[in-house]
Amino acid sequence: MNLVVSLLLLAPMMNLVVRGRCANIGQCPRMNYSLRWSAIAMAAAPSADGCG
Amino acid sequence: MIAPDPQTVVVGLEDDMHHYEAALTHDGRHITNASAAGPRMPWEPCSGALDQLQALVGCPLTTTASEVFAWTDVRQQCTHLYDAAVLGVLHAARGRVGTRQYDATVPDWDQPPFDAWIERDGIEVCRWRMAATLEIESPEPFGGRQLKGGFVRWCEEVLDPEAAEAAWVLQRTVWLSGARRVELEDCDDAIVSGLVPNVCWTSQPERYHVAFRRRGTLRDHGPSTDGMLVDMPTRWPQLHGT
Repeated sequence: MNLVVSLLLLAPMMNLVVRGRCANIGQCPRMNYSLRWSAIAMAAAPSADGCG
Repeated sequence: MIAPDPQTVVVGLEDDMHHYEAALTHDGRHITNASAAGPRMPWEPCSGALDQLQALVGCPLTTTASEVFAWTDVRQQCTHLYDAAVLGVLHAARGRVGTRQYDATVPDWDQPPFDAWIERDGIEVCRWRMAATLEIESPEPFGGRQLKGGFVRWCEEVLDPEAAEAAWVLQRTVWLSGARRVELEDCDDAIVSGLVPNVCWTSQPERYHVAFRRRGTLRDHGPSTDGMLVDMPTRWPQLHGT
């Protein structure tokens, strides 16, 4: 129960450190800049009779 | 009976500041259509760049990224949308069905050195120690390399096509990572944010001074990448059933 309460109390603080709001990033919880790229090539759809 | 649409590639790119997607169709030799969406764009004029992607029509399929970057004037494109589209052209040229996903990461840093790495389909394929914001320290053959001034062409000369692709995607990532340190929602326009003039569609002289902030478009993917690009099928019927 104490752990849950502690996490709930910490959550707003976590939000405060993002994007340079933290005076010293090195002393803040570690977060990442992440960039995702995805390329999806369409597959040939199988035929209704399964003969594709 | 074959395929309703076997010659389409749908691409997406997402980070804290940007979310762009595009569908490219091709005839096996050239791009025949390009349509784009921008679920999250940082500045008002950015939406005008979606139609600009039509310039890609006619571009030959190739696995050489620099050829696609040279196909049109990229300063009249959204840099990030066009980057994603280049990846789509390369993916189409390889002719393989299925998904290729890059996840690139730069932990928040206050000063160099710092690390940056990239995974292709869940497997790490490249990791750099950065000596400065735009200079790689190691490993070889990247040591001492600057991340500007012909980096894509250098990658293509030195690395195999797969490694070159991962390297220039990681280059883009490192370049963009500094933006996480800027409180963009406090910027009224792109000029205040430090966007360099004349590098992209939005920063052209006729739009630069009216590039107002599109507020509410920022996300924080700092703690987790969960949710990135997961809603692509809602915008592209071509993806239904994939």
